[in-house]
Amino acid sequence: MRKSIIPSFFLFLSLFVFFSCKSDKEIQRPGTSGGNLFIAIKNDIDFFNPLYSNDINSGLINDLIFSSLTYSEFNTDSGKLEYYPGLARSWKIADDQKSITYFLNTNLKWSDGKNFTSRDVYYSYFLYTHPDVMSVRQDVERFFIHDKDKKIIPEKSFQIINDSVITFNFEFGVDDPLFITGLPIISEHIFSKIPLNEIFKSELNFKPVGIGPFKLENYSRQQQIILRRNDSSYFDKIPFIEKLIFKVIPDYNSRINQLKNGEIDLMTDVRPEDAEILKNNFPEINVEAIKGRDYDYVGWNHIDQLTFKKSNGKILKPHPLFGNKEIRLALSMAINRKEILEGYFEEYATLAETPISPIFKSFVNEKLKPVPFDPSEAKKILEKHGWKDTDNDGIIDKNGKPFKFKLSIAAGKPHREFAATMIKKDLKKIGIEVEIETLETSFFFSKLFGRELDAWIAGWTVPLDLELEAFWGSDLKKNFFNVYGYQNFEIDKIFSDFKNAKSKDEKRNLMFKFQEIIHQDQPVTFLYWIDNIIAYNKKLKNVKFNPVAYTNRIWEWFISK
Amino acid sequence: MEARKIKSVFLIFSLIPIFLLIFSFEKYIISLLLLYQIISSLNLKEISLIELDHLVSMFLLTFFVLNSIVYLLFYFGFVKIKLMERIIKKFSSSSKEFLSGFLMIILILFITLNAPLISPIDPNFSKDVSITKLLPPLSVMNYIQLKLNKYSTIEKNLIQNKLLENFDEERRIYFTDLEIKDSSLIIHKERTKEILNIKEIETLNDKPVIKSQIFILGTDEFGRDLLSRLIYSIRLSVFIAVFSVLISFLLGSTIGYIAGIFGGLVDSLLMRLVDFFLSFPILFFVIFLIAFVGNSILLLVIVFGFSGWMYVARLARNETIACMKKEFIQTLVLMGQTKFKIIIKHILPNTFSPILITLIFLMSNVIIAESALSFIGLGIQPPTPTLGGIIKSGYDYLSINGWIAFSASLTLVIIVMTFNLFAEGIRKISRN
Amino acid sequence: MIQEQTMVILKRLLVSFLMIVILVVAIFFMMHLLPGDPFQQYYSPELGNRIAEQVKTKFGLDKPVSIQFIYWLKNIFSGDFGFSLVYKKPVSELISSSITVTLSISLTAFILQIILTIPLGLFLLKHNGKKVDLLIDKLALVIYSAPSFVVAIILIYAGSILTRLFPSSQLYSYNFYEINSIERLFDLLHHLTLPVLTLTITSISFSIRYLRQSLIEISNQEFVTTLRSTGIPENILRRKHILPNALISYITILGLEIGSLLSKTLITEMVFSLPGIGRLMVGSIFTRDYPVIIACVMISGFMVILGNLIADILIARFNPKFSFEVIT
Repeated sequence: MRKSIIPSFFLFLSLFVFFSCKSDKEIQRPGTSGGNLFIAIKNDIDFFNPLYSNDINSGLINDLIFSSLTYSEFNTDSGKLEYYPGLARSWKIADDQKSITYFLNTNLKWSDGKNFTSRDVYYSYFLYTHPDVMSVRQDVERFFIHDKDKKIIPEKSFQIINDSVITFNFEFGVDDPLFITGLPIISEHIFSKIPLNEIFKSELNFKPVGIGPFKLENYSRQQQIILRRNDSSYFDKIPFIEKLIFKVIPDYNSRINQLKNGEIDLMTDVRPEDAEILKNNFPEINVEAIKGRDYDYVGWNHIDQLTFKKSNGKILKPHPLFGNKEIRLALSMAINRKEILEGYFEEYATLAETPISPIFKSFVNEKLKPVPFDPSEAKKILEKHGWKDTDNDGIIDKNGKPFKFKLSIAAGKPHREFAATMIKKDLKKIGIEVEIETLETSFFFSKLFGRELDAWIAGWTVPLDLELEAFWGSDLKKNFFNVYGYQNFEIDKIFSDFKNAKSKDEKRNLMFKFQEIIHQDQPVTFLYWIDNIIAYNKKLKNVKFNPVAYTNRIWEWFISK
Repeated sequence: MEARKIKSVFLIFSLIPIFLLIFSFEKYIISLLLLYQIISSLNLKEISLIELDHLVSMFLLTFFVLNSIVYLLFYFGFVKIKLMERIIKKFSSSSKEFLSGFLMIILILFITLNAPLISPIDPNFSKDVSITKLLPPLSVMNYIQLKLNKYSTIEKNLIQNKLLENFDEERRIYFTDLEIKDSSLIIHKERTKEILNIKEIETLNDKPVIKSQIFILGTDEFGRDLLSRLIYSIRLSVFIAVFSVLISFLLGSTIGYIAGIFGGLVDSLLMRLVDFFLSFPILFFVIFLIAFVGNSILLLVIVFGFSGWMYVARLARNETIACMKKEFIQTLVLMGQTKFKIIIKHILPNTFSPILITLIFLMSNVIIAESALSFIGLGIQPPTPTLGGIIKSGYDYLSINGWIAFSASLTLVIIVMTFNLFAEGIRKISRN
Repeated sequence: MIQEQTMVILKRLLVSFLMIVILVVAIFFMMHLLPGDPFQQYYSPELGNRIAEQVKTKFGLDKPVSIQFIYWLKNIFSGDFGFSLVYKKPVSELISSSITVTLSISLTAFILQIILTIPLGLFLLKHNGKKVDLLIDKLALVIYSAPSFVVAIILIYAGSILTRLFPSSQLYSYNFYEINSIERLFDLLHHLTLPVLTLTITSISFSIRYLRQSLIEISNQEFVTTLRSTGIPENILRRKHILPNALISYITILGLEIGSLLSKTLITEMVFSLPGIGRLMVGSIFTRDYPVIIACVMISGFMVILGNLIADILIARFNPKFSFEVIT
């Protein structure tokens, strides 16, 4: 459900020092480098292999072990990704944007001692795009060159010029070639030994060989992941910290307690109420809130579930309650989003109006006015559509049917429970009866994707490339994440234009238009963008948390004694 | 135990309903008004569950209070009641465990049945969470109230037709500080503020009416009163325990008695069945079913019922076999009495006491099992209050407000101990 | 007599085996009826459910359930328990590592319980009726009435939050792989102290009351008074005559506990984040990890049946008059 980001770590000493104008202080070389940093993670890693790793945290850890051709960093001032040399020392983009040539760093070695060559780059992309491998990044193949049977031609798409030069050729001009060719590189000599369709089950997925700032030193399932800095790395600046120990602690309360105890040094996804307590009672712990790309929303099912199920997904009848955009607008107006925000998140969230996160500064349509909290106006709209309390039971009705529905949430998320309770209260005031249903997570998602829910509260993470078609496109079979059943053909046209857009300005205008339409149609009620609250021990210095990765520039962190 | 001591213990217990009546007087009067309204309009179809709940509680509370008054009269010698004296005599010959267990069970039953009236606020009511959350016990929060006519006809109907709707509570705005500037009221809530026109608030002589709410055990992470939540969670646990044990009893005793009386092939088959169910990994099955059906009270009751009947069945069967060996039963069989009648008339009364003990132990097990399920997140889902659920959130906030975990754990332990004590007491009596 | 007994035991074994078979078959079919599937982790906005479908086909989960069952049976007979869809490892590896963790905790607690209960029982018998005796009995009742997670929370609070003596979770420290065997042993012991204490305390609270009750009952029996009148010293009377008789019924309780060795650690494992079989079981149901679910069912079914069998043998051999009271 999220696209993993593809940072890659490589520093030119001079380049870096010159262009580090963002950080006010010079990077201080600590007296002694070294030390161990304990980081708490909620779940164990899924795969030590970027081919299959599909979970954001696993992706971050893999990016410490594997590098890409470029290293990308999200610039919060400009709201864009910026690229620095990685495994490649330089590159050249063709004028027609149909190819990009990379000049690789020579004399690099994999962690098992073998040399790094362009064959590794070729083979990595070969694996990413091959259907038998079943990589979760397979979709990147659509940019490259295909034959008349629509199959990708690897030799033409990833053209090896020589051991240290490789050219990627695209089928059409692309807007961001660096993004497409920025996937982590894995080694050919390891993976070529296995038949393609057995890579998935292979043990190698837990014995990574990479070229990165860190190496995997020890892994115990469900307990910890230990990374040691790569002293023989190609980095000019070897990480200051000697070992990163990721402790797997599934229980939130244990994580907080261990942070307070000093058993761990860093923890993300701290809850707002704990943030305050840490700030006030634990002077040795720093708390930082990072604006992010995660938002919560109230989903309304636009499609009548019963007819959908009976006809096996063929008949799309509008939902009797939520099929109409004015009614959805009324619902959005009746919910006091600010109260929920202040009640639970305090200052750690921002109201959301569209699916474009405020961190993508240039893409946010500032002209849109937030949906006002106006229950009386909401009532008027509902009355206009025939919803009145005719039988005096406190619930509005139409044609004998009361305005009643189930609001479903997945278990174990206190902020959603809270929001659901408040929404129930708000809607009761205008005569709508809401029943809150808490479902076990797996159950919730199967019902969600099966379009069986009436209304629900869930959250999405916005992908970095802003490819939102999967969430809002009209083709419901193809666009898996359009679980609300929203269909607007104008938006489809915007998406196809976006894919073929040649310039950033074009993309921006399209996104503005997209946000306008979504704002009018209110397919869901956008709630808020939730900050990622990170708490860490003060002894950790020089952190540079970033909305895309909290491990941003982790090689610059150091532990003061 | 001396009769005098028992009398004084009874005295203390009889004062409790009276005390609680005074404590919940407002709600009691509202229930009476509701009753009057229903009788006068003769409209029985539209009574909601909540109203029925309150009415039943009111009746029960009245009943308990009347009992207390009768006992007080007896204690102070105004009235002589032979039955009472006989009861006290019986108790004085029983063990301390029985007495304390019995009284505690009555208390628990009382809490369970009267929950709507004795709980200070609705257990799910939460407002102005940023300032009401995680308060320590005996905290007092001040609030003002929005005027009624700010709301539309829909809301007014809600109040007039359903006296018990928590509309009074909904109109509250809690605050930490209040400022009056011209005709505006600035309501401070620690870090945020709300500004309203004075006309929208209930006032007396142009000054806002400030009321206060005491949270006897403090609040949880959503600003909900802990005491109310504990009361309702006791209700839920006891409800589930009683009904599931009922199922276990019905199922288990039937199978056990039939196996015992008929013997032979029937017996071995039924006992194999019992063994099969005993070997079932029950926890696993519960989790499995929850993943299937979701967490509903009915499901839990059925599952716990089906996990306990085996013990009852085995016991019933063994007892029946022991009974069958007795001569007079054999004569009855020879005389042509139907097996059914034998069971009902002779075996049942004789075997009742060990079965009762088992049932009570089963109840305490169900309460523990249900709280364990809620603790790991698989029981009845929030916002419904459950003992395990409250302990769980208490555990999350252990370092901030340890009272939540402490009071909920204490409540749970006391309830389970009560059942255990009572069962042991009965056992001691039956041994004598 | 012995031949009759062995016949009974054999019959029981056969029936038990049959029961496991029925159980496993039932669960296999039922778990595929559960809504949801283990492939949600492969959904992504770019590819939708394409990868999920591919993985499904690869593991044969797109075939009808009865065919899947046949394949599974075939694999079982060749010793292949399948591949976990969530952990990406062979199921046999997962199960063996989980069982090791669970058994080490529950067996340790089991042994500790025996070692502590018996002398404590004798002690209480010696001081029967005095304040110490009543106090400990009541204390045991209170602890018995508390669920294991409450005991665990109290221990964590006292042992970890307040005093920082013990770690509050996990099985071993981060540098486990670097230290030598002796240090490893100590590290494990350090981490397992609180969980083992939790289990020990909860089980002692039951067994001590039971043993004490038995000891008192037996010491009130005729043969004891007769023996006493022959002038045998009290402590020998207690140790050599009363205790052995009481131990007979105590052993039956122990036998019953064997069946729950694997399941009663569930709550403890969850509170202390230990990678045991209880947590594996619960987790597998929620992530719909079918091969693991079935393997867990088989294991737990086997354990419970084994436990019941042992208990029944012990009862039949030593204590035929045992009357069943409910044990959690």
